[in-house]
Amino acid sequence: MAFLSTPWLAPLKNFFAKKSAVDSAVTESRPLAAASLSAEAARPSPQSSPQAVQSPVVPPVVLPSTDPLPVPANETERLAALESYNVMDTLAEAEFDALTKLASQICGTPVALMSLIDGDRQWFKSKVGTDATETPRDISFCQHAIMEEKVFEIPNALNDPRFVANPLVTGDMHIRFYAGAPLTNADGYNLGTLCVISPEPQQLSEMQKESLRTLAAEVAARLELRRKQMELTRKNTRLEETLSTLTSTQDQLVQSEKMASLGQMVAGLAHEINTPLGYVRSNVAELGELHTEMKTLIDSFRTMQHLLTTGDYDALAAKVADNEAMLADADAAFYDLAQDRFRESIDGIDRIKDLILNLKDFSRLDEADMKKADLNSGLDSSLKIAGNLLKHRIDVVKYYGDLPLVKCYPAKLNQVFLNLITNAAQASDRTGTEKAGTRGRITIATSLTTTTDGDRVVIEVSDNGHGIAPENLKKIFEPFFTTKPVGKGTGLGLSIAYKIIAQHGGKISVTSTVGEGTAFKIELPIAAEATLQPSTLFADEPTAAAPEPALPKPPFQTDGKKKSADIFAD
Amino acid sequence: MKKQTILFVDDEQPILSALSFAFQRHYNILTAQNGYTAIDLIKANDVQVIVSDQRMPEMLGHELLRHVKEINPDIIRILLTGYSDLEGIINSVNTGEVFRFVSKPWNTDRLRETIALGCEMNERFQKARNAVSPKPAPSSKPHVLFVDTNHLHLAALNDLFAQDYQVHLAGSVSEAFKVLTTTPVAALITEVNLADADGVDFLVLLHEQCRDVVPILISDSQDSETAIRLINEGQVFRYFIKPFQRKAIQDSLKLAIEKHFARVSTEPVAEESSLRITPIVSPLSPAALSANVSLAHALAAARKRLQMRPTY
Ligand SMILES: Nc1ncnc2c1ncn2[C@@H]1O[C@H](COP(=O)(O)OP(=O)(O)OP(=O)(O)O)[C@@H](O)[C@H]1O
Ligand SMILES: [Mg+2]
Repeated sequence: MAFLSTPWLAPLKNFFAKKSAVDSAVTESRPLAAASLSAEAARPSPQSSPQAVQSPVVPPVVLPSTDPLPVPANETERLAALESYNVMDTLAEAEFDALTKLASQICGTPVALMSLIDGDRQWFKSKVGTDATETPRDISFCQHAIMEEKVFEIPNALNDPRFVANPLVTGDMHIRFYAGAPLTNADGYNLGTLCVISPEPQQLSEMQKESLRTLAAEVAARLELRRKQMELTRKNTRLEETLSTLTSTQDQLVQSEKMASLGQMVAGLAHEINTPLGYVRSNVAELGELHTEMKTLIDSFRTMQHLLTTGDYDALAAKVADNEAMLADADAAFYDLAQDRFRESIDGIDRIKDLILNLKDFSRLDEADMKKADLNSGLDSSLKIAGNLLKHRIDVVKYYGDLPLVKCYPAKLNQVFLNLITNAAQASDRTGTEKAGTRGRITIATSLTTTTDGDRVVIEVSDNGHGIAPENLKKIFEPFFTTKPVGKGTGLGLSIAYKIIAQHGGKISVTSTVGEGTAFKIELPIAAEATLQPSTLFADEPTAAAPEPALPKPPFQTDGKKKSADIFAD
Repeated sequence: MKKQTILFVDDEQPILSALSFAFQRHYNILTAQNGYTAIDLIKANDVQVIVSDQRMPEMLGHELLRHVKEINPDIIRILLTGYSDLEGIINSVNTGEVFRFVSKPWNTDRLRETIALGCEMNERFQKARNAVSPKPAPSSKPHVLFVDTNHLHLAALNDLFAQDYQVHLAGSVSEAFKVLTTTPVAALITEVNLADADGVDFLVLLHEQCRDVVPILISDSQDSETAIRLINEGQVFRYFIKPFQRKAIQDSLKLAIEKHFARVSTEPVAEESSLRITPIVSPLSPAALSANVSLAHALAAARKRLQMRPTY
């Protein structure tokens, strides 16, 4: 009787044991004859004797069936369908429990179950009147119920050869009555049953059967809903994850765009500085040598002066001859050149000084807050920073109007200007094109206009470059839109510009004709509304400082492993 | 003695003035503000050394040097590079346009020594061209050496070249020097990433110790700093980036071997001795180099000597 000692039976067994003890007086007669065929034969039931005595009729002996157990034709698909609900071994859910309870009440049975049948067991998602959680499939009533479309009803198990020897019948659980309606899903698979069970024989009325079917359909519908909800939650989680990786990727890219433009700027500046540094260094070294020569000459004149005063004329004559040779070596024209080298060296140092001042102007690192700034000079310092790109290749024409000071983040606006200038320069660079003979030109115009919204500053940056194709025109402010080769452009420049201008309460727009050129127009209010970050007055205010975005991963590095083939390109 | 002629090319007049000022007492100086003027001057004058800026309008420095090489390969070509002139640097290694890269701001003394060395090289080239030197036709297949830690790469190179050359394979720098001490190697192909030494250091030492061996370097990536060292210190013949065409490396190895035989038939090049420089550390003999222990020492010593050398 191994099945009785298995733990899965224990709760059901206890329930039925209690139940039958209480109801023993009214329990129907027990088929003693059947007992000899059943597993229970080895252990005489305490209730069997009085029951047998009370029973006036000896029911016919039903022999257990030897038919094979029923298996639905579409069992594999059915199991897959059940799997897709992800419901097995999950916690109880109130909505199912309510329906199960309703089933037990409507059918007037002490026990009702929502049973789901997988490969080797039936598992109860919901249960009333028992603590059992599952039984093996091969002794279950429900395996028969899922073969049917209608309610599968066993009024008295003892009269049915399929169940007469079933341990659930002969054992402590003492099932006599069973009725189960299949839980049929939308695809027609019977996942399990909603069933009602009683330790006494019973028969459902048509209405009860109807209700049981309706309840089963409701359970199946809820199962479906539950699955859809889970799927939605899963999709939603995935979307959220994707969004968060996207956001962090974008942060990284924005960061790397900043790094890249910083890198470009530093490279350009270093180049600009190294040129004057080159000649200043060379000149100073050479002038130093010249100074040594002159010092020797001065020393020698001093000696001559001394010889003159002391009257040592022989020595003086020798010294004069010496000196003459030395002076012949140092030709006068060379000394004149020295004058020019001094002048050029000072010019060069001024050039370096200007560049550094400009860098400071441009970045304005010391100004994190809004301040009133002269946008014309912001444009100038952006132009100087871009100088390396423009030099020799592009003419810059400026039409600066008189502008009032504009309340803004100067460094951010400079970043916008540099971006527009860089784009224009790249679009107008003629080297290697059929227009190589002509020169690229960038025009920068600023003016003040009065609109209904108040005074606004207008900045136009236009070029005579290759222009933008009409189908691209609406995309250029999108992040990552670029027509430049990998490494040349990230496509973030204009999207960042757009964001910065919007932050200032301004507008940026573009017009372009392919082959003729492009014009960007920025309009800015003189005193931007504080759509910018609220300023923090108190130091102890909790600040909502965004965490530093993670730095981009280092570029791909090859490991030591190499294949033989990878050294030849062909 | 007749003054030698140096041509300076830069679009910045103050640079030309400074260079003229520094060199005019010892050389004839010509200056040009762009490539076209420079080419005219080259054609009209007997120029020994050209020093050109890289970044100039119309014609870039390395393009100018390529034209100069075509006009007269004996003219020694020096490229003045700014911070962001990476383009051109790497390519100019493989086209052999450049004798030295000099970065701005330059050190006048080192530039002076470099120009002096350039003039000497020019003279030697001209002499070699005039001397009718019967090339010693190699009687047997020339020896080539391949150095790589990856034996698959070595095997691949061996398959490619075993038919035409006597191939030697080495998995490390110390193994390579063992071969170099016992065999008259004509040309060598080495990977930059080696287990026991940096490939560039290896070539620098090789250039010092075994000058006739013509080196080719294989690398994973282009890097202008490596390229500059390869030219200035290792006098590398070619710089290959993986993966490359079989044909390209076959052609390069062939040229390298021709160059080797041209080298051994002319008088040995001794840059430092001609400039009266005594090395701080005496160069090790190739035999000594074959001992594993002294390899790191030798490489370090070579690097130190390079730091001390007066030229770029
Ligand atoms: N003045 C212009 N002339 C022609 N095309 C332009 C001009 N300005 C922008 N564009 C086009 O708009 C695209 C997007 O410009 P944006 O500044 O956003 O990115 P990018 O310049 O490609 O890259 P990055 O700014 O990161 O270097 C460019 O790739 C180019 O096709
Ligand atoms: Mg851009």
